[in-house]
Amino acid sequence: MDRDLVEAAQRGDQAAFVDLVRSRGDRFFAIAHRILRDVDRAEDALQDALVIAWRDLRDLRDPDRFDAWVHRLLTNVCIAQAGRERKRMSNLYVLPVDDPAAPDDLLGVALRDQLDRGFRRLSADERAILVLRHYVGYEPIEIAELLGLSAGTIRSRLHHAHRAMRAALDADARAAAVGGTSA
Amino acid sequence: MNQRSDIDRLLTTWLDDGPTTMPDSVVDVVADRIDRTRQRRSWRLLRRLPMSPLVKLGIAAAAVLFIAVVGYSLLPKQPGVGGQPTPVPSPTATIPPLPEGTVTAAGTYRLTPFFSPATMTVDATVPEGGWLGGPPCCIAGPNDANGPNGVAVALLKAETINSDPCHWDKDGSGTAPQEGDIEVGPTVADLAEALAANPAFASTTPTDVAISGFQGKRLDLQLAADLSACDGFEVDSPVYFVFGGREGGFYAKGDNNRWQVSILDVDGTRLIVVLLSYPGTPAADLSAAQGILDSLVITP
Repeated sequence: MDRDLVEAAQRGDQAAFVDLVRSRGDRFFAIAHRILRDVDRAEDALQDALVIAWRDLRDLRDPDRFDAWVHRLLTNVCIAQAGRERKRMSNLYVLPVDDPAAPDDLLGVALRDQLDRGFRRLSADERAILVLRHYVGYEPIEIAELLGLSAGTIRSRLHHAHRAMRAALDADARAAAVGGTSA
Repeated sequence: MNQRSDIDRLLTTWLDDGPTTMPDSVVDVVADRIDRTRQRRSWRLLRRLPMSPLVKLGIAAAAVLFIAVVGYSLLPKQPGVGGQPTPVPSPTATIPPLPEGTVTAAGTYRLTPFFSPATMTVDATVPEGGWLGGPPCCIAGPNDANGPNGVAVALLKAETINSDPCHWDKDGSGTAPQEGDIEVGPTVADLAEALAANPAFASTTPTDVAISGFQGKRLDLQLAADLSACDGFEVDSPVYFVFGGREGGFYAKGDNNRWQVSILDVDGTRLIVVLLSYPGTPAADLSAAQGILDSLVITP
């Protein structure tokens, strides 16, 4: 039972913590990747978040809340890392690493590309909020608790992020139309 | 379907795609790192311990006694007025992180150049004169880092170099890895030799160097005289990538860029320190940049 693993890890059992990482890691990694859009950076963020989780595990009051607690740590690490990235000077550009191509069964390549570009233009916390809402499935009030913000703030940022994504799609559509006319 | 539900559905579908499997290496790295990381005591639990008024009174009395004993022990031992003043150690100064943008106050600032391992810190003393902070890696001169007169000190790491730094974006994706990447071995010598052997730019023979007590190799690179035909992220904004891939993406953005490259072995981690300048860089800025480089204090 995972509660037992969490409690064992809180008592300093490293093997129990590693078992938790094995059983939960895929989901954690997927969240980090969706916020950061980069395999290597997601891997780094996940490692850092898990080490913080281990270090502070005794502060977790309810072992059943382990997942949500790690989601909070991981989201904060991802936001911090994305912030660091944006602050780099103009001459330091970290080339994004190609991901294995995903199957295009539901969204076309062009639409996927538009979504990706629009998403990358969002602030790090807006990206995180979108992922927590649309990938993890948290309600705005749960995201607010997770990130230590008011529910109103979360709703406002969600609204802004949705609007920005919609604007990005519309802008790309307009650009494509203009390009097609002039070609 | 309205626009809101449309974007909701699109985002959900789009986010569902993508990697869902954690790389195996994460478990190994985390297992290794937690083995070296002590768990914090739960201060929350300590704060919540029930405490009777009698216990509180006892603790207060003990505190008063402790202060009295320590205070007495610090009094001058010889009678009389005006004994030797007791040196009071100053508290350890906290080194502030390098700010983003103009560094308004000269002083020592801390950089944390790597994503991983994120523990390495590098302290640099920045002079007055409008130098520019670019955390986590870089400090640029008053004229920024670009040509024709910029200067900068940058900290980075790289596992690959580009075989053709001018045409680095072979597949047009602007991403890494690229077809022209050359994997280099893990040592300082491996990277120094790979750079020296790259015919794309002129380089000096690697020589021994030490920065902040860490040994390594130094070589100077004279990069392309004309970048106008090079690949770029934007039209009319060509760049020149010496190193490839992640955390090595520091590029030249100006003709005739000169790189003084020091490659250090910092307890097994390869740290690259670059001092970049141009023919038009003012001598005072170049000298100040060298001063910043000489001031580096690296903590693994």
